[in-house]
Amino acid sequence: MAVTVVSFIIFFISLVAHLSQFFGLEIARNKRFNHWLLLLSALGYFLLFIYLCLSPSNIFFIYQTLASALSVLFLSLANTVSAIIYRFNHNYLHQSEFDGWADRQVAACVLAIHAFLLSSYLPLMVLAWLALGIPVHKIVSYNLRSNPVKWQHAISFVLSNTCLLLATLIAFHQYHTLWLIELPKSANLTTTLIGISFIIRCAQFPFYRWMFELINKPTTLSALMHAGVINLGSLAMIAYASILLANPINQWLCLLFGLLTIIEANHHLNTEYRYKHRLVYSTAAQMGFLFVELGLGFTMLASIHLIAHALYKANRFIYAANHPLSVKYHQPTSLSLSLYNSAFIFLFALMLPILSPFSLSHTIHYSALLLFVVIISLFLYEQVPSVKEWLLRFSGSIVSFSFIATLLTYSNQFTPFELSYFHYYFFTLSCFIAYVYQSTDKRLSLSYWRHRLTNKSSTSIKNDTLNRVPNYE
Amino acid sequence: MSEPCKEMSVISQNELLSTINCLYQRIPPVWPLNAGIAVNPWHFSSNENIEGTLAYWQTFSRANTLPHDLHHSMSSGQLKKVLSVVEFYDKSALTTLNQALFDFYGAQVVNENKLSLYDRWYRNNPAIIATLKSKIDKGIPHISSCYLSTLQGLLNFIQPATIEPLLFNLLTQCFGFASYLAYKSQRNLHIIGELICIRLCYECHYIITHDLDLKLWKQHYLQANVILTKNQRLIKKALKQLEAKEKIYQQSIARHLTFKTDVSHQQVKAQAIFCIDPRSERIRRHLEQAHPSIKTHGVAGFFSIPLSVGFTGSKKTLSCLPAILSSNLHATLKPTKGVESQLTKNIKKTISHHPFLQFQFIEMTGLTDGLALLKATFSRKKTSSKVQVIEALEVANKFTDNVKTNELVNLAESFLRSTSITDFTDDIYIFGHQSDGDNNAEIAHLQCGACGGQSGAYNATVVCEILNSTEIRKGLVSRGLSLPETTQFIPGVHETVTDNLFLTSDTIDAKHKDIQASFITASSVARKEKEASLPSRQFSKSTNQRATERSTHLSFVRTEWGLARNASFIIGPRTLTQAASLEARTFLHDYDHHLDKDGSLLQSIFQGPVLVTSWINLQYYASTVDNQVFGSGNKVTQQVILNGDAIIQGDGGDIRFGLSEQSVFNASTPYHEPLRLSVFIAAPQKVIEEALSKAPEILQLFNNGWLNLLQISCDDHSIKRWSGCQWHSAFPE
Repeated sequence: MAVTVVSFIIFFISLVAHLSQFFGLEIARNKRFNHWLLLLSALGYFLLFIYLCLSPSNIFFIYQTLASALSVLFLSLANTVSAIIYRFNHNYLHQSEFDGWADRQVAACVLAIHAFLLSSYLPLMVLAWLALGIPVHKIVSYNLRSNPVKWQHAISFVLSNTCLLLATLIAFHQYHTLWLIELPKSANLTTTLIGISFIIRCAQFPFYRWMFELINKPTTLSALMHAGVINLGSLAMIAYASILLANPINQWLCLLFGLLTIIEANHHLNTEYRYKHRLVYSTAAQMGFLFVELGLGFTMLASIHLIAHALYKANRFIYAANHPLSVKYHQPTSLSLSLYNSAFIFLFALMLPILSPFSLSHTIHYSALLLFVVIISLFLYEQVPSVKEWLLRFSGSIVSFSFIATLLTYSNQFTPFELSYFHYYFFTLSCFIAYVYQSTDKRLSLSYWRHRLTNKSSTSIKNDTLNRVPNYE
Repeated sequence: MSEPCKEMSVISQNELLSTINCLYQRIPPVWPLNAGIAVNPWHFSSNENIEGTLAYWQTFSRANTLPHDLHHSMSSGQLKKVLSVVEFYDKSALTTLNQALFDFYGAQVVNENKLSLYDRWYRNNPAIIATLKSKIDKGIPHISSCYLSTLQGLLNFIQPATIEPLLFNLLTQCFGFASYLAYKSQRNLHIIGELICIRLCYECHYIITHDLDLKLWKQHYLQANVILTKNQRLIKKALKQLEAKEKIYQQSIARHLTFKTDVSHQQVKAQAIFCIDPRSERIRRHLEQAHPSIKTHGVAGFFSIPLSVGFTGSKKTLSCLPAILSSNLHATLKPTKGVESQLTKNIKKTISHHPFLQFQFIEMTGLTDGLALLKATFSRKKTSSKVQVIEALEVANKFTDNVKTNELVNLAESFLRSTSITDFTDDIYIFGHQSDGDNNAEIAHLQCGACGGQSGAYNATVVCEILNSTEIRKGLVSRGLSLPETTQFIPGVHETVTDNLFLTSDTIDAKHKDIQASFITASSVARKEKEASLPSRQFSKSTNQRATERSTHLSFVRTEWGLARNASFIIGPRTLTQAASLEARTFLHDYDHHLDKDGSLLQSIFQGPVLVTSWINLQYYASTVDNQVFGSGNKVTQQVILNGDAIIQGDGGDIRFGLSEQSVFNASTPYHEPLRLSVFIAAPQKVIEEALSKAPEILQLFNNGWLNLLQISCDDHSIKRWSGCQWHSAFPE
């Protein structure tokens, strides 16, 4: 009872803060107070998250512990990021045409996120999903440069919402329930529709190009989209994994979309020369990876990936005007590297059915998979890190990581902590081995392929105008 | 069947090459963002008359070359443009067309390749080539992998006289990329030709596929020369108005000048040397008021030290010198805690771009990134961090073997002569200036222009090290410059956002306490004066806090106004200007013509500071009159590309150079007043003429109207104007 009251107070505080920002009230525009209020509520959510992990209980309408713990963690993230954005926009958008407008869109988005995570009551989820799409569409179509992008967003928006609505109707008609968590395991059609709806909005392969239009808007809007909006669907996937991912079709869809996205986005990432475009491709690839993790059943890893990636991207977008650290575009080897990349991921994809029998606990398979990754890493490793530097960074982050992982293990019934431990163990190992075999890369020069492809390819530039793909060779 | 062409082509390859050469001369030079050198977009046209050049740009490009108020004072529509067919008929098509082009260029710059630009384009676009071949090649095959012959074929449809304007127009639609490619290829002539050729192919292809007639070009350019001469006449008229405005400004300067016949021999306790930068004018004025026994001087901010700076453990080197010089002195500085080491960067780079490790990398560092962002956004810093970094620097490697003591003596001598100081006090402070700010892609534009867009602090530190060395002082005696033994040079930094004066050495004893105190007073007064003109929406109320926040927080797109509103350059003793407030609009260089009988010092001032300031001034002029073409647009929607070498707006378009809207506009009204620089020189006419004759490129600038030259006569206190190679009274009744 006490927890419910506390959580309601925190919820109320953040609601007030966002609403005052939405309506552009004096207290929100010219005082620091609102930002601190938001940070306070973010902290409150985080403490609540810790509490829910340690002693599982139900708050609000959500009566599934994992869902409530994760939702609260995500709300904490959303509030932190939006507080940073409001504070940043205060100076950044002074005298700009986006002043006030941008804050309003951010507030609308975060309010919709709150509504969406509030409960697993399907009609409410449908409404919140719709409410989230509207400000996003407003942002995308403001001062639009190229029309196809708008349609792309509109299509994914409509498609996703239709799927969710259909799922709700079917659930009500067939299973006589409007609660997501009350759906029986056999409700394959409904869960598939919900899964598709979430995947479409999570920057997966054919549906991520609308994010390029965000680059024409203030960078903070991109930060919000990449940190809090793009990954909301995958969060819901994780939170309701016991229902959504119990459906093998959903697992297959996650894998399929995830792998396609990794291949597509990584391929472009290696040759892109514009910084923010790189970030968009990177987000797409990361979300692809997240869905691969989900498809394999590693929900806990996926949730850490989700939070860490959100913060990372918020940082990168907000700092985008600082000269980005020198990026090697793989100039001479651009094609061969992309080729390696795609080829190995393709191999990876081929091995998946062997590796993943879709049981939700398979330490051994996962280790095998990671060994495979280690081998590839060895071949692709280009430059050598120093052991000392590496260990310093590693130990710092392992502490923060294991803190969250331990907490999540408490609430999570099916993913053991050891898994993620192995994950990092192998990652470190791969770096050490790479350090020893520093010269491996030279032996793998694929000049033959490069030469051949340089002379033979003939892509028309005209096709590229719309989808903004640089024309390389 | 089409009948074969009678003539081979209207233009021969040699003529074509010389045309391309002309166009290539109109492409401004550029440097990458972090070098941030102010560029006069019309630099290579300085041998032409200003109205001719402006009219050419006004007529044959989308640029606007006149200040907005002058533009409006003419009845609208008088200044006509002659644009290419696509730009004229279908502006939206132009965007798409250029986007294709820019995507292609971008990929080109990224993939350095042995094949030439046009070659690769030719191979990649068989569809366009086939269309062109079917329409253009009638009998004689022109369209080929040789860009010159393709150009010849396409240009058959146009009259020879109008070829240059057409190609110029096409070039200006992508001149950001053109400049960048020219820079990358060390100004290779052919790369410009190839760009033009590709652009022309697109143009023809568009015309053919949209069933327009290629003859349109002919009609279109029929009137070109008439319009050009008409525009030239109009611009000449407008420039008269500009001149009138400049005269009003010059008169206000003239009123402020004071000619002290009896130099009050007040005890001079200390001297402070600043950069010629207009922002130094403000702090110098307040420093003199705070402590009347401090004498201030102005010289070029790199203090005659062509320095390149490296950091131990880092591959990065900074060139702290004007772009016109080359560095011969290298100093290695110790990195401090704030600077990320090259090693860490390498690791980060490798892992974060590794096909597989990038995913794990983000899982590992993401959480710490979030905390770092939170801290950067919400924490309040007391002082700007970058000054502390410089404090900790050490010049470790200042006397490299290849720089002999003799050369160092040369540098020290030229510095001391340029200051025109004759009596040295015990303490001489040398302040380089720098602008602090976080998360600003164009920070280099706010730094010291004489130091190539870097902080002047390094140069100040090194010049003090050199001048304090006994070995160098011995060498200076033989050159007729004897420094008193008690004289001590103390390096410092003038931070231009907060207007703070820091000393970078920690050897300050008790006797400097009062001077230190006056630094603090001068800073706070200067800060207050500046704060009034700077629109910024901040939470804190105190001036000090506001300025500190601007210099450290990551969210500011306008930390200071920089050199905006610069309009004049006074070369003469400080006593001329000491009594007046010049509103930080004036470059000040110390010069005493009694020490310079043959004009050689003045000549070096012409070739160095005057040239650099003219570039700065014209950059501000161009960015103000047309920010869409000569400026970099709104900072809010900028994006850094090519490893931080350049900037584009939003998700595409041409590379943008010049200043952002935030540097020259206040909301939507221009803050910078576009006036041409008025150079005042306090020297006899004969000395000036002699110096000018030795610096013909500067004489050109004056004669062609890019700069105003005025002479302050110290005998009869009159001001004369240089125009038409003669001296006239500056302000005739």
